Amino acid sequence: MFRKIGFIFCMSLLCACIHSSGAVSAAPPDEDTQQIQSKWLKTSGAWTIQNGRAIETRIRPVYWNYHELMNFNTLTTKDVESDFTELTAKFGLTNTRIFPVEILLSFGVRSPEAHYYYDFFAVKLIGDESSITTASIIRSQRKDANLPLTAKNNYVIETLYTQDCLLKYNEEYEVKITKANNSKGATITLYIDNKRIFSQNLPIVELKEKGKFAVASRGASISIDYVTIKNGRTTVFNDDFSENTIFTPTVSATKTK
Amino acid sequence: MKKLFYLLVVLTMFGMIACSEDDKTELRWENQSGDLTASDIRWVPASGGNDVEYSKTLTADGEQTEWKEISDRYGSGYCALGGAEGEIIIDDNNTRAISLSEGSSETYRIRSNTAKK
Repeated sequence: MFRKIGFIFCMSLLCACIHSSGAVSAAPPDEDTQQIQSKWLKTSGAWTIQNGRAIETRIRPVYWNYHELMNFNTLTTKDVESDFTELTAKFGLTNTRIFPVEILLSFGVRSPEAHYYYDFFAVKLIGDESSITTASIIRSQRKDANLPLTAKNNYVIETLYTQDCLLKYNEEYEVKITKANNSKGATITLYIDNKRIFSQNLPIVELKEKGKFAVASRGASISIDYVTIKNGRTTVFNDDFSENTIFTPTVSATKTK
Repeated sequence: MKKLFYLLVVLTMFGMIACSEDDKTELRWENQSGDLTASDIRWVPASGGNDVEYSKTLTADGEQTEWKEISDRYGSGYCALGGAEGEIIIDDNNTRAISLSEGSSETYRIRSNTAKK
């Protein structure tokens, strides 16, 4: 009997030791773990997560002129590169300060290296002091591939289509962009709160290429929520911003004495 | 008497110029690590005023940018990192907010973080 009690005691002690060593050796998430969990790269701007939304608060852009997305306040998908058939998100615009107010919902975002996103398509919303007034489809392309990546203004922005579109500031909207590929290009359709704004067929084969996605703004504070991107029946990306999924490139600094 | 008056005026003017130069606030950046390439470093004022841009790209350890006069003393530093905007985070307060002392000449040493892409 004493042997059994002793055996049970020793096993309990052994189990306790294993449990405590595991707890001691458990490490908090390190930077590498945080990188793995990130869904977005903060390409530019001041982005925070507040009340389950991604909000941009710098409002004013910094004109770096390496590529157009860097001249906005931009979040770019970090790892997801895909073709898509549907992109949906909720967004709102507040604190309008610099006009025109401009918003980009970008797709097919590509770079030859690092984050030089010369090439992309986007639905662009433009507004004045009163409201958003125009919805367009734009394309950005690198001008001269022989110039170094650090060359400035080496890209061209082309407006492919434009349409009147009235959206109020200080209100939340659901935006949906669908893309239907065809033999020569694709048809891009924009919906705001389920109301079709435009549907435009564009004979550009590059529309069918996979790329990253980006949300960009300047002139106003944008809040973003429930971003979902589908390619057919497959959900290739989604984020409800219930946690911080934004990776911010940083350097550290110390003031010299 | 008149000569003495004019001399005092001239001396006063020189004195005012010298004092105003002493009140100038300056900022520069220094590379503290050899594996960091920081280009297009900028001082972005919190007030929304014009950015101050540094022309020198820092590639080598110990390299410094030029001095730039800063009129808006509250702001943040940014640099270009491979086509993305890099925030300069101050070790003391772990934020990007910097408050420069009026009339000072300040140097901030920057170094790369492990988190890049």
